[in-house]
Amino acid sequence: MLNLSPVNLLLTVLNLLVLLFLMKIFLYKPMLNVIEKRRQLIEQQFSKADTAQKEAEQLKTEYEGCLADAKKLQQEKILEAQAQARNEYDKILSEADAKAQKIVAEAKKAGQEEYEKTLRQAQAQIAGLAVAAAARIVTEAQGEASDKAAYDAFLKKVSTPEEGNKNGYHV
Amino acid sequence: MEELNCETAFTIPVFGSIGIAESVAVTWVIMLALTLISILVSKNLKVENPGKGQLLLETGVSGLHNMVQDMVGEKGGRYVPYLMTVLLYIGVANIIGLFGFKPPTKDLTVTVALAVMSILLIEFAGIREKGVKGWLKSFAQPVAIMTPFNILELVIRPLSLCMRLFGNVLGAFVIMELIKQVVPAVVPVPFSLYFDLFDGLIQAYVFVFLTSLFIKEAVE
Repeated sequence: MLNLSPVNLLLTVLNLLVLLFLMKIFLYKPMLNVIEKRRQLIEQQFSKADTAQKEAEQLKTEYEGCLADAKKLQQEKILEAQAQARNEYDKILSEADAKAQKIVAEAKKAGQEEYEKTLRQAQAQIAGLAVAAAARIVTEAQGEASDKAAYDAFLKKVSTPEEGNKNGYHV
Repeated sequence: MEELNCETAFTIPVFGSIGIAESVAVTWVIMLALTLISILVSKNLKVENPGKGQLLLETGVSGLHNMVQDMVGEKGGRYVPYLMTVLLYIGVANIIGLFGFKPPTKDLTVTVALAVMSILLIEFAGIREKGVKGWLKSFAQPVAIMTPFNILELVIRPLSLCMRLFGNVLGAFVIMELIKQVVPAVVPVPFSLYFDLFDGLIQAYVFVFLTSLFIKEAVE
């Protein structure tokens, strides 16, 4: 129990060293290897995920920029279209206005011409009538002087519209 | 009381017959078992999707590694494998009584060998870290008058290490044998749990803890 044998002591020391060697080869090394490898793998994946996220964020900002540009462009187009439409509207309106004025003016002119024409016709007819009346008077043997006086009196009557209207003559 | 004796397992008939102690033979058994188990468990290690068994094993090994590393300090990192091996060896040796073997640590030869290796390692670590001159100077610290005590520590440390381990295991062994002789069944079980398992593992831890502490002291 209490005896020490140098041979066995040496053998025990040797055993321990061999055991250390064996454990190193068969237990610690593979274990720590696997753990280290896993750690590296995880680190790698983390860095991958990191870069992917950064890329995604970059793309996101890019897209947001594009979207904002598109919105701005859209707004500009709408404003442009609105302005164009207003111009067109104004133009059409002014054209229509001018046309209407022209039509009105033409109508007025035509009316005037018609009036003048009618007036001229009336005067001619009246002159004819007067001539016919005069002829009748002449044939009924009246004096030349009285004929002229009667003619003048008639013309005077006709040239003042109130008188004419009163007597049933229309111009 | 013949169980107390450390018998010679067999003799090798060279150099006038060398007697191989039982403790050495059991140590071989332990070495074989540990190696086979190691090969078996570390055969199919996977980096990705490790199984439950592997996770348990990894937790155990890295836990042991971290524990020893914490005890020995950062500068003593190179001694971690040795300390882990000693922890495994003493742990298994102390509880191998459960499997019907005589614990090797019950043999003074084994604990002396362990203690001698520990003190050699401690001093080697000191010399390696501080150089021979620094190592010699460290004997006169913290004050010169401590020198004799520091030199005495060279003997006291391994002595206390080996005697603590030896005494604990021997005591546990004796008590267990006595209990088994009085009541052979049932009653020894809780006692065995305490003396063989608990005390055995605690002693393994204490041995490694003290050795680590001394190494840490030597390298800092």
